[in-house]
Amino acid sequence: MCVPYSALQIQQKFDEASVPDWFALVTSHPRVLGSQFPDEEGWHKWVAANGGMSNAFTAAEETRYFFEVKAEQLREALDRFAGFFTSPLLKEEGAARELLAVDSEHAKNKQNDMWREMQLDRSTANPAHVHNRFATGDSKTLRDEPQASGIDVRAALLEYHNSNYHAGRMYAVVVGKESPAELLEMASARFGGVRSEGAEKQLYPSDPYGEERTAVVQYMLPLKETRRLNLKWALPPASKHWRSKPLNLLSHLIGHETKGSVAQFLREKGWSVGLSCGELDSAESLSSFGVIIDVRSESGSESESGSG
Amino acid sequence: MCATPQLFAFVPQSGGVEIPASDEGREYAYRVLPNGMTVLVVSDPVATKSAAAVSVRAGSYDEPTNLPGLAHFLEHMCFMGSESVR
Repeated sequence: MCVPYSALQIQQKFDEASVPDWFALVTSHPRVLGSQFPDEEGWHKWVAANGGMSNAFTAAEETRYFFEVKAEQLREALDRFAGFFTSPLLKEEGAARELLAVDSEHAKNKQNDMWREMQLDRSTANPAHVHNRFATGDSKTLRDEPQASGIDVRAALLEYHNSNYHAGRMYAVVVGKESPAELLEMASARFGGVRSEGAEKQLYPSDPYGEERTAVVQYMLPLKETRRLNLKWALPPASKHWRSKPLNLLSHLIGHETKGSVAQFLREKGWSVGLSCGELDSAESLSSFGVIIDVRSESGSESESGSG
Repeated sequence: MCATPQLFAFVPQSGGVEIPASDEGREYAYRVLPNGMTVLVVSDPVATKSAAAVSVRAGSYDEPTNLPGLAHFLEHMCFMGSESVR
């Protein structure tokens, strides 16, 4: 079965549930703590009590926060939600607790082969490129190591927030049953207070590997009993072609499974039981396209003949 | 679920916003606020749920190299509390 895993699809469908949890780009967390209540669970509890959900994710060049509630509750939900952006407290008391949440996310990711593949890719990228990152973080990188080398994490958080979180780099979408004019008024009143001072978005080179890491083969020992061949191409950013979606088209051409397809050919040879493909890294500065071939035979054991 | 053809088809809409064909019956509008923030609204008179998202053009690429995970940590910290108590 062909499962495209394009980041653009996350953006278009606005539906995390349809995306495998190993999706290579995002570091999402299941828990969202509250605003405008002394109690930190306030927002989360309130959203849940109103038949909704809320979450956020951090990608390479985008961080997104979102929620859904009963249609009648939009106004109040926006009151609370917009507060995170107009007057965030970034309370120091909550930091230790959030660090634990980040820690447990990483502990979970570490047990997942797709996350491990993604980190291998990132850790072996050109060290001078921003793609060479450990994006989830944990208590080692965000507490112990900075502490040992005298780096003030809180000051760094505030500095990052000050330069990156400002109105010129923020976009809101509001969906509701009210009229467009009412919705605009509602959103404008609440997001109008977001600070406008800050730094311009910086763009990065579109090739995160360089010559040294082009045409290389990497071998990874998986945690689970699985045999996969991953092919990856670094590409210039596809996001500006959002309208024609060339990588979706490519994904369809390479990933379809009807007569004459790559998937059918590999299956007939007994080399593979599945193929999926699509955009891997979908950032503002760069894109990549991946083909993942499940190299097991129909009987469940991996194919040897396909390894030549 | 390989192809998503409905996302290719757009129909023109007044106000400079194009609505995906799959969103027929909904009205779109957008505005750039005086502070520079862009706001897009989607009106669906029969909606039983409402939703919103805020996207910030910043992520892990933009964090300092000596603090891996800082952008993600900030995401957690941002959802923790705000001053505007009602």
